[in-house]
Amino acid sequence: MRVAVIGAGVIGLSSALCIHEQFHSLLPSLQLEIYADHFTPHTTSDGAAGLWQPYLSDHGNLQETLWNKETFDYLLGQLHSPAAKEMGLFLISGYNLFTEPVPDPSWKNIVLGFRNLTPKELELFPGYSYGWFNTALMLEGRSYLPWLTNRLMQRGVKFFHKKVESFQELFSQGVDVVLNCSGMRAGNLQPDPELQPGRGQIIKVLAPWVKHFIITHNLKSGIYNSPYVIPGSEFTVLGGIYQHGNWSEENSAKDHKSIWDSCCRLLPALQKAKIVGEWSGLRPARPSVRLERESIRLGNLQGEVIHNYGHGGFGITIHWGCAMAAARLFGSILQDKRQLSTPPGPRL
Amino acid sequence: MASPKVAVVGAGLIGLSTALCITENCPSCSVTVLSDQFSPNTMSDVAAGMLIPHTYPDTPIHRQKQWFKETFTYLFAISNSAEASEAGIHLVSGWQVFKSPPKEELPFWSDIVLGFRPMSKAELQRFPQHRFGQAFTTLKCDCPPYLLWLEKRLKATGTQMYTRKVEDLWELHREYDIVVNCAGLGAQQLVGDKELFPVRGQVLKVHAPWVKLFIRDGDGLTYIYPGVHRVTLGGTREKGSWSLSPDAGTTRDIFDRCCSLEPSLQGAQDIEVKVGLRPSRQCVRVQREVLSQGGVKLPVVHNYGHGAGGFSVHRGTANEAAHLVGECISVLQGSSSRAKL
Repeated sequence: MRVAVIGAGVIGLSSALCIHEQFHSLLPSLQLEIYADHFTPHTTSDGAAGLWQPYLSDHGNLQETLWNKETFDYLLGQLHSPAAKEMGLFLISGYNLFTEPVPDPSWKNIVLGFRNLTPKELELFPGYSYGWFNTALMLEGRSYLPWLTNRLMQRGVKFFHKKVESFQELFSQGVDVVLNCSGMRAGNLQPDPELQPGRGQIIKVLAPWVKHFIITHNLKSGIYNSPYVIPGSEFTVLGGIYQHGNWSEENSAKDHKSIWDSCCRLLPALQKAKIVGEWSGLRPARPSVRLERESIRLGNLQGEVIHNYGHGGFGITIHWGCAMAAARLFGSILQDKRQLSTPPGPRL
Repeated sequence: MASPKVAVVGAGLIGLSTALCITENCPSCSVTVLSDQFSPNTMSDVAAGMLIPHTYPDTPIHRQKQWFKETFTYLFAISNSAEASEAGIHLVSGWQVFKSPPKEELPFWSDIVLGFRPMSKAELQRFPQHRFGQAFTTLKCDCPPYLLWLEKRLKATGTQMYTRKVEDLWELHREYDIVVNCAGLGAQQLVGDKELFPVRGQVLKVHAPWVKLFIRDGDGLTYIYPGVHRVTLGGTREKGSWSLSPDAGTTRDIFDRCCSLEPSLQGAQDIEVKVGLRPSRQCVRVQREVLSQGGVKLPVVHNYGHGAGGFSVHRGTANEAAHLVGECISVLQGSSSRAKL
């Protein structure tokens, strides 16, 4: 049973690990392969700051809220394990700021210690009159992706530095199931007009005195189009750009200025911070995550595809819930092929 | 008295902040700081500098609260300004956890720190050995940066600083009109204060930049305080010990206790061990006194004995001491005008 995963970002690697963990002992013939044109540190996931935080509203998408919760609970459980540091996993507290009162988010009971900001705290942020404080998690891609890669290599999963041009390509080589975790480039494998880039740009600075994340919101300009500051373990990420439909991965001087000026206004001490890098990436945005099975028949070739893409700016936040769901879909494929008498894994 | 000459003995947190308050309160004063040690070699440099007050048994609570409030307000403004990184002042959030019910549900300082509230059940689950907890956001003063920043502010006012070990306050009476005693533990010898005693604290300063939250055991013995570049792990409270030498067994014990609160610290690098002696007293001595010897009078203002709580109240006590210096000046000016009559 050959399974090919397309994509080695957080979605591809975690889905692969989840499937291998759950099925390798039950299915001795399982052969897992990962195909990608970019590996860490050159994936979209590597550019993300790594803060666990869903968007403000789930737009009634309860399934995604559940996947977010699964991810948070899973990561929280990993916090005290010896692997946490290597995974790039740690607790972080911080602020979400608004210019007007807003309803509580779907994730208020998922994170730790969620509460409204007090008047004295709001004094820190002139121009903002409402906000939240909570403790969440950071999962830095620059550490997590290598950690996932090591776990996979230890399990004998093979990696191929190759740009897959079509699902047929893999089926014709004898692959039985394809996990499509191709993120922004999923449209190249199968057209999907709902998948659009949400271009972001970030400035990396040294500001080790900043211990909190600070995310501002401008309800008119939309998510991530308002300054944010996210302190990592080695550098702090300054951002605030979300350009729907912009495919450019080049750093823009105009965006740089916008990020720098707005973040320094938010935190005056940042004026003294040393800039150590800049990066642009494309959030694979979609009205909802595409996580579903598809049977593909092309001539006399047949194969099963599990799509798992379109995680926008919340890939790290939702990854594990999606990986588990992808594994369940894989289980159902095996059942259909009569490879398994009963589905394995934890019953949810 | 055109330009009163004030000598401040001690260049730790209390000496420097008191000197600065004096220059602010009395711009015509000429202030000189005298100390055998300067940052990074003062006792204050060892401390983590967290603003979590220590309760002095014999100082009225309202006075401690006032000191803390003034200090918090002062540092809050700096943390919010462009100078924050140079001064080493930053906000930090975290948890204080208790194995047995805390003495007070609401400490006197709970409405001064930010967002004080009991920890939620989910938060307490991270600490299986602890049953109660408090969550809040407070400030941290990293040393040496904060002390160096105070020195810079002082130099800008024209304050002179000299390395000099003062053995006796009377040494200073010819050159100075008023002496301010911020000698910390040195006051034991300098003014013969038998109520002053050391409480030895050993700490580890480690490289663990992923630690963004503070965690403190309510017993005050185990704590994890993330600073700008290093995380301070503590500690000990050894009453009466004068030893400044690090103890290897203690190092192991502190590390183990901190790792049990925050397991990821196992991966901490570059462990530095430091020892400080908290200049402890039942109450902080902020008081003015006139020393008399052979018909000569020497006005002295004391500001020492802050023990485990120096950072939390330093600006408040410095303001009070500066005010007392003002009183000394009034008295001197009064008597000098009387002398003219």
